[in-house]
Amino acid sequence: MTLPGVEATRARIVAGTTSAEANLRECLERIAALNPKLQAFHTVAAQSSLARATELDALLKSGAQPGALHGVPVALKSNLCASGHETNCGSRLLAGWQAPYTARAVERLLDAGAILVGMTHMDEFGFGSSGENSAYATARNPHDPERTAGGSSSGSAVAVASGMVPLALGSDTGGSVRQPAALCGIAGFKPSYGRIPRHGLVAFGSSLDCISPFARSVTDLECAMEVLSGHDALDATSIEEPPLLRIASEGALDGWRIGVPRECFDAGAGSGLDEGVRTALEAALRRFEQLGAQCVEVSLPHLRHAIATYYIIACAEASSNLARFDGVRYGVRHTAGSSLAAMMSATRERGFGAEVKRRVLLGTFVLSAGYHEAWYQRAQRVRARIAQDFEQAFEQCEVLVTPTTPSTAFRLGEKSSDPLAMYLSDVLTVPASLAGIPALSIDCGRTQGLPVGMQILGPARADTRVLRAGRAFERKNA
Amino acid sequence: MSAQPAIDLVRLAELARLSLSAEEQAALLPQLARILAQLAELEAVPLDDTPAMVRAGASSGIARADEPQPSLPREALLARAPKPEDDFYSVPKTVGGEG
Repeated sequence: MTLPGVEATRARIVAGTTSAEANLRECLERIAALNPKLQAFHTVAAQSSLARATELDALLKSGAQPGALHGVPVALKSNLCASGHETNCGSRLLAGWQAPYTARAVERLLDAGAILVGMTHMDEFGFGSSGENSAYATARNPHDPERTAGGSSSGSAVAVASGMVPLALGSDTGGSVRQPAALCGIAGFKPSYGRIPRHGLVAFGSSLDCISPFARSVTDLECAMEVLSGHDALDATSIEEPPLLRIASEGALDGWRIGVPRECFDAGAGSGLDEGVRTALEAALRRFEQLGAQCVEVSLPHLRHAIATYYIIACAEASSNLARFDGVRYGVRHTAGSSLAAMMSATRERGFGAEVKRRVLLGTFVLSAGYHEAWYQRAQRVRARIAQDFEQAFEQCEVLVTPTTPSTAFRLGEKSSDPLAMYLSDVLTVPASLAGIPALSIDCGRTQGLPVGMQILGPARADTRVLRAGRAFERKNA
Repeated sequence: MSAQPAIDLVRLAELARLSLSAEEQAALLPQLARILAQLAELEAVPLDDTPAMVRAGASSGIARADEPQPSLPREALLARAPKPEDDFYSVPKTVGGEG
């Protein structure tokens, strides 16, 4: 049995069927039972969350209007700041570092009545597609604990998929929410770039990073997006639009055209698509047709360059953003010799894991004198081509549908010794990140007992359209 | 951009402020070479006069009004630093001698 979702949790508490405290105790019991095996949370704030639940119950009793997320327990990826909680980014360098303030997105959740239950495991600084690059623990897939939960927001995905909490936040730079959502069989939504303000998110790739929610249904994601979205003056990349509002619809998609990019289904084009995933996606496309939509083939000719483009840009931005972790202002310091440079180098050498060093070095290489134009600037120009491909495709359809990942959850350890093989896991998610467009991953079936994720993409700022298509599919599939 | 770029790992590590052990250098060099060889495929993409895309199109990039706002308390930030000293972040000596 799993616990109820976001909407149902709030409804039960508001109706008096249960209380925020009783509901939270159920969550905490489930975490205590499952976390030792699945390793979703690195810290569980039992005491403060129970105090908050009691406060919310008293508020409701006093006749106060309940918020949109009244009593809903939430988990946070450890790269989000929440005052007094440990934001360690999965890194030894930030061991024990407690945030001095609360991220805007988290503040919005709490203001709406959500209860912060704890912080989750992640690949160090978001660098990974399997959760194995955490300095603390590797979150495990609830469908098979010997397999990856995906990454980098692995702990948040596992917390939702195993029913520990109905809602969690992650961050998605190149697929870090969509991939774990797909591999764990839940819903994850990377909104348009700038839709959810990032004040209080530890930066990885600033032109790509998006705070993104996980839930067990699209309806629950819509509840969360109503609260999380909306302009914020503290983030200069924040879209100047009001929060997204849910649009009631019958669920039919009459007259919609679903674009099917041939490159995403063609193994020869580099996606390396597993046959079981292809079969599940083809069945999903037939269900869209039963909803009144028409499937049309489209082409994204530059898609095959997305991995190279993404890794050049993301590593460049990461090497710049991570320069701040030098033993002066944050976390742990290691000393060596007597100079400032030696202290910084020793701190970073001992504080960073292998994948972080690899990406910082790659980023430093593509930004260094003599290479900047040929590598970094060239990648930015290919990025423009990838975005143009999407614009042209959306002239022929309302949304695009692709698999989220080329395969289902792979075994832990299977790719960890081969960085390039791990990077290729991102082949279907990085294109939307580069273009800054909204992308939803939802469960669309099983192959060999493991979940298959389907990705629905829309034009920039058409977040509501993407969620509507996902909700219609989900209802048809129920 | 070249499929086999020359990688001066010692210089790169210095720029990236990483003191890599000899063992790490030996492991990293072939990995970086292999990854960069793969990323170099962008060299063959015809681009004509396509301009660089520096950020996703949906972002506003508009700075907020230039008005003073309260900042976080100094003591809260210093308490989270590895080695605060009075009202300052302390670092090894940077003037005179090795820096």
